[in-house]
Formats: sequence, C-alpha cells, structure tokens
Amino acid sequence: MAEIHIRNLVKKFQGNVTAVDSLSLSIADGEFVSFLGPSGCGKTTTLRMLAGLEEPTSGEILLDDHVLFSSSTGEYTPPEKRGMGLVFQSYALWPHMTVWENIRFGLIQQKVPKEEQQERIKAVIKLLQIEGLEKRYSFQISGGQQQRVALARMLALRPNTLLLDEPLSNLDAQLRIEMRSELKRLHERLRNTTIFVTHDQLEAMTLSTRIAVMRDGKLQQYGTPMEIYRKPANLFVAKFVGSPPVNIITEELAPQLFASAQKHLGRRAAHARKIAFRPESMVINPPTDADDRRWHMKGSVAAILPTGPEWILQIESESVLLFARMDTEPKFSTGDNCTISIESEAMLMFDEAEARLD
Amino acid sequence: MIKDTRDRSLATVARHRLYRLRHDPTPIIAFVLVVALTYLVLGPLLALLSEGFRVQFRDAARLNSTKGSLTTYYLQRVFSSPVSTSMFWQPLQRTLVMSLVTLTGSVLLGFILAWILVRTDCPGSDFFSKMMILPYIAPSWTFALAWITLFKNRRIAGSMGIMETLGYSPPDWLAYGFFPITVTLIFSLFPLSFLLFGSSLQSVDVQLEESARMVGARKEVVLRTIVMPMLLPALMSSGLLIISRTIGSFGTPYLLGSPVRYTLLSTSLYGAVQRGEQGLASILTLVIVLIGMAVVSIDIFFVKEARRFVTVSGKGSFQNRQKLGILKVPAVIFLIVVLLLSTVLPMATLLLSTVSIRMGIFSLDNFTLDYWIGTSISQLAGISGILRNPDVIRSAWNSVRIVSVVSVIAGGIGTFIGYVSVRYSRSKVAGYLKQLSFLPYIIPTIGFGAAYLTLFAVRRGPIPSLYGTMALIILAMSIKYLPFAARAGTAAMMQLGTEPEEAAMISGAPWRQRFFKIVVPILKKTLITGIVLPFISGMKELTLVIFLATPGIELMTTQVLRYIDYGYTQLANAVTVVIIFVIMILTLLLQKVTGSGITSGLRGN
Ligand SMILES: Nc1ncnc2c1ncn2[C@@H]1O[C@H](COP(=O)(O)OP(=O)(O)O)[C@@H](O)[C@H]1O
Ligand SMILES: [Mg+2]
Repeated sequence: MAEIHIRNLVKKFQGNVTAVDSLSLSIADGEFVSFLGPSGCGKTTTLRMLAGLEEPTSGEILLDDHVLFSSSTGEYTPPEKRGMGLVFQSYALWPHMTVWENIRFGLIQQKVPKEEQQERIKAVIKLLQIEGLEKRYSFQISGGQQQRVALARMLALRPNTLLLDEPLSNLDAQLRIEMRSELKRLHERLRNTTIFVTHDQLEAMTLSTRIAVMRDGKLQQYGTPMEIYRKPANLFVAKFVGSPPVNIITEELAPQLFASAQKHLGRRAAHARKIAFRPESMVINPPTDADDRRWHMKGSVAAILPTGPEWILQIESESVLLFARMDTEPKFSTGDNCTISIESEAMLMFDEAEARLD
Repeated sequence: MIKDTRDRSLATVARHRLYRLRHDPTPIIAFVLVVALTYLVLGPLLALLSEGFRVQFRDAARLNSTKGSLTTYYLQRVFSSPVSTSMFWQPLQRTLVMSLVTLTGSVLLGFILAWILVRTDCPGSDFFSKMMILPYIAPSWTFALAWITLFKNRRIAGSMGIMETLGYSPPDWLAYGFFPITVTLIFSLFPLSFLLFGSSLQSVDVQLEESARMVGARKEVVLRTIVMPMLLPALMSSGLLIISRTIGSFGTPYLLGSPVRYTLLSTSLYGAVQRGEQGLASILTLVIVLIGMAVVSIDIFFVKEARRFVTVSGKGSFQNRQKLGILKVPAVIFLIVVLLLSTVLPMATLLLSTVSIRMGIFSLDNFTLDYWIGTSISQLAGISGILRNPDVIRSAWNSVRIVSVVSVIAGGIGTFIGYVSVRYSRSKVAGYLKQLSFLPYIIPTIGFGAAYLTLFAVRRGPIPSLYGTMALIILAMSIKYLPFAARAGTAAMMQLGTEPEEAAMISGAPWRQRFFKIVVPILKKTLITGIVLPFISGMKELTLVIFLATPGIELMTTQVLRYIDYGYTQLANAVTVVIIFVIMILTLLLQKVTGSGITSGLRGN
C-alpha cells in the first residue's frame, strides 16, 4: 500500500523564488503519475520534497497514514524512513563502487541478511537485464545501462513508491522509446506507486495513469491522459500536450474566422476569447465539398510534411497558419485551395483568463 | 482521508527538530564552522585594532594614562614622529619601489618564457616547462641564502662568501640591499606569472584566431588584437599576486637587507615586535594588511571585469605555433641560462657549500661531510652536523608534527566548508563561509603572523594565551592555508554535487556512512591534494611562523634563520637542502598519486 496525499505544499527558495505553490493532489496505490511541465516549473523540487531531500516551506505530505512532513507540527520523516526509491536525472551512481556494490550498498544499510542480499541483487539484475555488468564501474557502462543500474539500485530495496526524475532525458531517441516501454512493463509487473517527472508530453501521455500538469509551481490540471488531451483545463495545458501543437485563433489574429466560429458555436461561445482545435480534428476537402453541418472555413495548402504513417499539412487561412494531420495521403499539392471543417465537439473555447469554457 | 489528531505543541516541534539534527548534522557543522572561523579569521584583525589604539602597559607611565585606554599615540608614532621616517616612510617607499621592480621583472620573464614554451616550436618545451616550476616549489628564501653564500663579504658578514674566496670582493650594493633582494625575489616569483600566462595562452581558443584570419587579419594583427587582450587577466593577476607576495615576504629582506639596515615594511615590523613595541607593531601590521587588501581587491575587481576574456574551449594552440627559424638557437640558450640561474646555480651553491670545509675552494682535500654527519665541528663551536644535531632533529620533528596536523586540519576544514557550501548553496551561510575562508588569502603573510601573535598573546575570555605553544603555530598555519583548502574542497564538492549522497540517504545510510563511505572515497584524490599541499607549504613556511616559533619550538625554517644569525652558513644551507629535498619528494609523489601537481593549488580561472 502506498497512497500519497499532498496538501497545500509550498516551497520557497531564498531570494523569494516560489518553486512550488500550494500544490495539492492525491495519488492512489499502484498509480503511475507523471508530473509534466516546462523546465523550471517545480517538478524536481516536488519530487525531492516527496523523497525527503528538500524541506517544504509549508504544507503536508502523507504516505498512507504516516505523516512524512507537516509544517504545522514540525513532523518530518527522513528519506531513509520513507521507503521510497528515487532515480536521479543524473543517475548519481557512486563512481567508486562497481555495479554490484552500488546495488548492495543500500541493502547493507537496510541490514538485509547476506544471503538475501545476493538473491535480491541477482533478481534485480535479471529484472533489468544488466547481467554481466556486475564488476564494472559506472564509467565503464553506457548511459542506458547506468540508467538501469540506478533503477536496480532502488528496486532492490523494494520501495513502496518509485520516484523518477526525467529518467529518459539523457538517453538517445531510440533507447528512450525502448526504456519507455520497459518502464511501463516494469510498472505493470511490480505495481509500485510511481511518480515520473518529465517535460516530454509524449512520455507522460503514453506511460501515465494520471498526469499532473504544472506551470510556475502551480498545478494546472490533474487527470487521465485523455482528460488532459481532450478536456484541457486551460490554454496552457492545451498548448503543452499534443504535437503538432493545438491551433489557436483569436479575434486579433483572424477576425473573420473567429467570428464565424463563435457564431457557429452559439451562445456557449459568447465569452470565448480564444478558440482552439487539434490538428487531427481538421477535415480537409476540396473547396466545393463544404459540409454545412460542421463549422468550415476556406484556406490553401501552404506545406505538406509526410512523416511516414501520416501527413502533416500546413493550411493558411486568413493569413494564420494552422496544422492539420491526415492519416491518408492528401490529394492536394502545395498552393491548392481547400475547405476545412471541424466538429463542434472538437472545438475548445477559452475565456479571458484562458480557462476552458464548457 | 486521514484524521487530524496530531499533537502540535512546541515540545513536539522541538522533538522533531532534534530528531532531524541527529539524522543530518550539516546544520551543526555549519554552525561550528561559522563560529570558529569568525573567531580565527576576524579575531586577529580586531585584536590588531584593539592593541593599536589602546595604551600598552609599558607606555602607560610615559603617556600619563592607564593601560587600555584609547589612544592615537601609536598611530602618530608610525605616521608623524621623529622615528616615522626610518621606521615607516622609508621602508614603505622601498617596499613599494621594490614591489614594482620585482613585478616588472617577474612578469616580463614569466611572459617571455610562457610565450616561447607555449606559442613557438622551441625544442624541449615539455622539459623546460617542468623545470621552470622548480623555483616555485623551493622556499622563497632559498635564493637569498644562495646569494649570501656566493656574494657575502667580510666587511659586513664577518666571513667570506664564495666570490671573495675566489678573489673578487663583492661591493656592498651587490652583496646586500635593494639589488640582491630584487633579483632573488624575481627568481622566486617569476614562475607564478609563467604559470598564469602559460595557462592563459594555452586556453586561447584556436577558433578565435582562425576566424580573425578568415576575416582577413594578418598573423601579427591577430596576435595584437585577439591573443594579447586575452592575456590581460593573467597579467593583472600575476602582477598583483607578486606585489602581495613581495610585501608579505620576510625571509629574503631579512637575509639580504638587515645586515646593512636596509629595512622593508616586513623587517621593520619584525624589529618592532622584537623590541616589544606591541602598539606600534599592531599599527604597522594594520598598514600592511590594508595595503595587501587593497592590492587583492584591485585584482578581484579586474578579474571580474575580465570575465569576458575567459575562454571555454581549450583546443590548444599547437597548430598555431610560431616558427622560430634562426631564433631557435638564441631561444634555447635563453632558456638554458634562465634554468641555470634560477635552479642549477642556487641549488649547486647550497649543496657545494655544505660539503666544503671552506666555501669556494674546489679541491678534494676541501671536501667534507662534517656539516652533515660530523660531531663537534671545530669551526662551529663544537656543534654537530645536521643529521646528528639534536637541535636540528628536534626542529625537524616539530616541523613534521606541526605540519601534519595542519594538513589534516586545513584539508578537513576545507572539505567541510565545501560540503556545507554545496548543501546550502545560494544561502547566506555558504556565502559567508566563502568570504571568510578567502580573507586570509588577502592578508600579507607577515601581517597574518603578527596578527595571530597579537590575538593569542594574552588570555581572552575563555581562550587562554597560546603564545609559545605549538597550538598557536598550528592554528595560524591552518587558517592561512585555508583559502586554498576551501577552494579545493568547494570545487570538488561542487563537481560531485549532492545527488550521490542523496542516493545513499534514500538507501538508508546514516550521515557517518554517507560521508565516509560515499563522499570521502569519491573525492579521495582531491582530498589527498588538499592535505599534501598544506604540508608542502607548511614545511617551507618561514614568514608566517617567524613571530610564533619561540626558542622552545623551533621549526626547520626558523632553525635556518637561527644558524644564519650565528654565521653558520653551511648548516643553514644543509637544513635548507633537506627541506627542498622533502618538498620535491612530496611533490613528485603527489603528482604520481593524483596525476595533478603543485600547480593545481594555484589560483586561476
Ligand atoms: N536549491 C535551489 N535554490 C534556489 N532556487 C532553486 C533551487 N532549486 C530549484 N530552484 C528554483 O526553483 C524552480 C523550480 O526548479 P525545479 O524544481 O528544478 O524545476 P524543474 O525540475 O521543473 O525543471 C526554478 O526556478 C529553480 O531555479
Ligand atoms: Mg528538473
């Protein structure tokens, strides 16, 4: 059991940097939660507070019914008593110890009996497929292998919660995809509560049961990947997930488009200041094929970018450039005129404060 | 959700705090460091102020005042009294002139050498580069000692130097005073600017020069407009460092100046302390400290200004090595001459003098090992050779004991400062510790020694007088070498970061395990350097301990001085040879063990 509750967590650094600003969220046992956000939004700081390496300025952290930290009572559980495992972004393998010794060190600290140490080390080495590296030092193995050792070192301690700080960011593209699926398999097998920090929306989308999107230390939205994608709480979240990015039209950018979209959406859109839609929601037809039941607009094809499985089209309409995505080969060439139509449900509206309107 | 039945009383909060300290004693370490270093670094300076502006016991009657009341008497005596000229103004003027001449000489020599060895295709540059550092390793007064051995004359010294034995009587200006002091200081200080210029020249990015060539600049123009400006920081730093060293040095002016009453600031201060004029000495020390601080502040200012010159990539400029052509032969001859004068000649002089019955006679029947292993040498009032001489053996044992403890303390404090700074990076504590540990660096050595004498001469509150104890020497040395140790410790800890330790923390390792099983082993090499470097500096330290080593606790270096005072030049030289030998061995060992050398302890960007 490892259920985590974070309440009103605040972390201020010297010089009045508020790295984390009244963060509250709960994580159920066995979940795989991603903290997603741009660099500097306070993900690492939150993770370090969970691990006990950083003292929050205020707030509470509970693990099941243990108080890990509480600013009101001064209660604090030191890292080693929390039973959590943290994998650093830099891996932080101890350079003066071999792979085997790196894994064994924590077991010695936990006073695990000798025979059991051996068993556990062998088990994690097998689990992470790093057999044969036992006697090597960290500088003698590749980045991907270091990553596995760092994971093995924590898993050997059977942590109740696994904290991963951008574990994939130092790997090359190929390896990153491999490790991503490996992490998912590991989680499915071990079922540890896992918190995964990343600034890569695709990683968060593919791995998580729930995603916490952060910005400037504040929680923007906490939900399943599909909620985040389909029902972003605000424009920031909408822009942060999805690639190519969501298309946005405003009154200033494209007055005619905006007015017609607003009209089509009816009364709901009265307070909308920005309207957004995802590239895959755009249906592109020859100019004559207008579909009157949907909202549609005229445009021309500015560029066609085939990626292999799909085609990204850049469409120009009223001098704004929009991204569209098609999974069949487009019958257009650059410069052709076209009609774009979009389902009303796929259109997202945001108010003055950039919060989404329902 | 969880019920809120927790106890929020003050006692609980306090209990949790205590629990955290046991788990991670870093705050305690930081607190101890702050308190101890504040006393040991700022204390001496405050003591100077207090002694310099208060009536001393011996002057109370004359001044018609009570001991301890405020006075500007000493200030007046230093700046405007009948004795000011001989005690302060003249030494000040001499010191400043000498600093400037030494500076010019060392910077020129260092620059020319660095240029030849780094930027030209001169043969043997590796060999010469290594050898040019030797004068830096030897104690600075080695040259003065060799000079005396060569040039001293009967009229002043009462005995003949090698030159006089050979039939040439050196005039006073050649044997003592301004000329020899300047020359010997240049020879002991040029390696500093050589090293600084050398590393700057090496780090100039070739691409910067190449792009200048691409836009049409000729080679000469590139040198003038691209390369030279990048050497400005090295010029400033080495210049100011040399001035600071010159002001703070005692051995050379004492050996070469005092016999003809050619007094510099440092020797003037020495005189005041010898005469027991505590108030006066405090004011003189303050002046020296202020000059030193001013000089280093200028340096810091310029180094900051010069940040933009710092080049990141060090691609080496070997492709751009200048062809010497017909200048090759003169260049090599120049290098050999410098090497002979700066290393071979002084060392040979010292060594030869210790195995000659009379200096300067090169024949077999003049050969002797008496100065090394003889018993009851008749010329020297029955004293034994240095390897059998109880005084020398005792002082050697003192040196080794004291310096060993100093190395461990300096290395240890340096490590802890680094540790605390990294754990509390960007905090006020880290900033304060950093500045505090840097302060001893900007205080000229002679002033530092005098300030320590002042602080610990009497009991202050719970802290007893340490005068005449080894503890005082140990404390003074540890703090004086702290800047290097702290910088090394901080750099190493910064590079390590906190994550390896935190990973251990999560694994459940208590603090002792984390520190001694993770942090220390990873930093082993740096720590060895941090311990050996203070050892080497300590073994050859004279200026700092001149006020602190009492007849009861001689060090090897003060023993040298004692022998010079008695006129036992050969014994002094022999002890010096031993010191140099020990230092060389240690330096080589250090190089073997860590792959880095003495130069890593130098400043530089
Ligand atoms: N030790 C620290 N001292 C001061 N500011 C810090 C410290 N650590 C992080 N910060 C600041 O806190 C903010 C959040 O940092 P971090 O949690 O590392 O972001 P992320 O991991 O999301 O990139 C940043 O503005 C960063 O500069
Ligand atoms: Mg981060």
